[in-house]
Amino acid sequence: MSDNAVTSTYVDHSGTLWVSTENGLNKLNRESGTFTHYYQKDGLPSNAVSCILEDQFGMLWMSTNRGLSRFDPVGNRFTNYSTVDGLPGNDFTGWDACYKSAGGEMFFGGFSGGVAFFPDKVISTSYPLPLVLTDFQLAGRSVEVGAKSPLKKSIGYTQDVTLNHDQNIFSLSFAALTYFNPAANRYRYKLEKLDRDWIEVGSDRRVASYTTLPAGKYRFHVQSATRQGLWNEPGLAFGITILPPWWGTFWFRLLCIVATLSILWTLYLIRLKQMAAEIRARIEERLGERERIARELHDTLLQGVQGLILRFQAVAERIPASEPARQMIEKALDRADEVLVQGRDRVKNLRLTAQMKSLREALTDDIKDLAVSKGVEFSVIVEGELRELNPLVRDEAYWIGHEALVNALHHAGAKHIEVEIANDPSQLRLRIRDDGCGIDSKILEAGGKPGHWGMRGMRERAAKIGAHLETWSQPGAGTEVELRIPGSVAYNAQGNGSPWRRLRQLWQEERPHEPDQGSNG
Amino acid sequence: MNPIKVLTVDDHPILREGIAAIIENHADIVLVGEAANGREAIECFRKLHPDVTLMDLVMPEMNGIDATVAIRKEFPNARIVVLTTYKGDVQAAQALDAGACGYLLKSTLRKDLLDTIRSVHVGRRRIPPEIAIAMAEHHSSDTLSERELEVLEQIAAGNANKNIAEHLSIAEDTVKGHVKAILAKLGANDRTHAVTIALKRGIISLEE
Repeated sequence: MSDNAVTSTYVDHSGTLWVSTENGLNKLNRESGTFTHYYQKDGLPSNAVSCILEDQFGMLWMSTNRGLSRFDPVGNRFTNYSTVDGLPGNDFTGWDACYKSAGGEMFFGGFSGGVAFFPDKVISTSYPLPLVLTDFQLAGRSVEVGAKSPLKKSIGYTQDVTLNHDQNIFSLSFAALTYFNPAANRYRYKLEKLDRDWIEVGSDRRVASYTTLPAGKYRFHVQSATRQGLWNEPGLAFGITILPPWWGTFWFRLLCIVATLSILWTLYLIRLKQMAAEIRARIEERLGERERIARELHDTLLQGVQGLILRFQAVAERIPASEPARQMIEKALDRADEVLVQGRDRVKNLRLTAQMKSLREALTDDIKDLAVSKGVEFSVIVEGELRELNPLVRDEAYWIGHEALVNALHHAGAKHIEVEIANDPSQLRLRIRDDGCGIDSKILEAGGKPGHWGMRGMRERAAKIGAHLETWSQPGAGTEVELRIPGSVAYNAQGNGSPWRRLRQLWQEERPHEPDQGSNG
Repeated sequence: MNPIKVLTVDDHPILREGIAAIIENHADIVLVGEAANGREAIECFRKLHPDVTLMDLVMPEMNGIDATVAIRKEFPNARIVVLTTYKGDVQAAQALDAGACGYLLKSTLRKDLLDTIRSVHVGRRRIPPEIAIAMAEHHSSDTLSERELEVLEQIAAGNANKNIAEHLSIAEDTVKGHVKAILAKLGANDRTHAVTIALKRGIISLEE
């Protein structure tokens, strides 16, 4: 026995003896002659058990000083009832004050009063409860219904609300529509996408609060149940849409990305332009240098030699005409005059680059001079509209082309040579193809034959003007030399307009070029 | 007979020395002074009253043409021979217009110097035959207008029509018109050709 203070005894339909005490419930096991004890830890509302009855289903009902309890002897389970279930009070320890009528009605009495019920009716308290939302608060204030308010109708008649990004602190109140023992009702809710599990609350906390939710579509679910009953699936659902701020919208973000990419691209173009400008500056510098050297040569060397020739002439005149030395020196001075004229012409050419022939003319003349004597066929093709080239670029391109032609004719023994000049806005391309014996790949890799400076010279010239030089060749299959000069370097500047126009040019220059069959000059 | 008094004007001392060395050999000619630019030339001329002045064209401070004009204005009888490197007919014509009575190429200086000095001194004009021929060839041809000259100089500097229009603040179509006129007047096939002709004839020069 759990205690000696026995309050009542009861024999159930199977003949089992139940003994209630002031400290625990006991069941006699006839076979072994021992008692099984049940305490508060096993599910009793309290250890002080007062009186026991059995209903028609074999369930034991007992009163305690903390309400009634129903015991399922098969499942060994207690279900407890208190004032929230409708009892007048909790203390039924009048000791052994209970009675079951012939109709099955049970009566329990105690210090808190008496209670009468049909055990089979008690089960029916677990009916589903209808649920409604009772209040919607934004930042702690009930939202009034109105045209400008998120609530167009009373919250009880509203299926969903749409909120701005700054209205993301809100709470929802809800209630089950029952007057029968409302304090015993249970609730649970969750916000889809935010809460993973149901949050269960008692009837005293029928409110769900959320703060600083990110923009998005949410769904609030709430369910209720009586104290013993099942959750009323599926319960109530309420849609909440929080709009993104203008800077959080998809279009704005896309715009940001596009803007960022545009800026990066523009920076890239500006960098390209800068690099081109640097190369141009270098070219200008070299043109200036060349001009300076030419001037120096003209002013000092040529004029100086001129003066010296005159002085030698003066010396020569002192030698009698009959002397052979006089003839000799006169002849030497004649040669000196010729050399001077040649030198002057060279210097003039050095300064004359800007006025020389076009690249096409220069290369055509070149190839004529070189090829005709050898009976070599050639063709010169010009693609695109011929544009005015930067003089130094044209010179370098010409010299590279010249070198390639010399290689083709003198080293490769070509029978046919094709020169192609393509004037793209984005770049100037010069290609020279021949059907000669080709260049050994080892020599190509080494940058030319040792001692033969042609290839290396070509590369150096190309590098100076920021151009790209490529050579394809195979023994027996001919050679192709391709020179590509960026348009920004190759062509004469189109003048400095407004910054906007320059920016536009910047973009236009990078546009892919549509091939056109324009005339060439 | 008094020797011919000669003044040399050239910015290269070594060239002046050469001329001096040749003149020294001949008793009938005497070098009275040397000047390094046009301004000095005018001062020397006032002081020395030379019979013949050898005048370089391209010099710092004041060029030969301007100096020739200035001297001739003050001394209408001054005999000035222009010394030059280039054989353009237009340059020669300019020099003669300025009042020079002779034209001497530096490349033939060695042989022609003395003859030129002597013949100019007795009142003749001396122009090298090749230049005379060139001048005769182009004598009838139209001269370029000031604007056309500007356009031509821009072309020579390697500018495209658009740039020239911007530089000279005129319409691009106007530039095209000028270019057409230039090509016609010079008998050139294209822009490049025009520049080549203009340089050869001394219409434009690289010296400036």
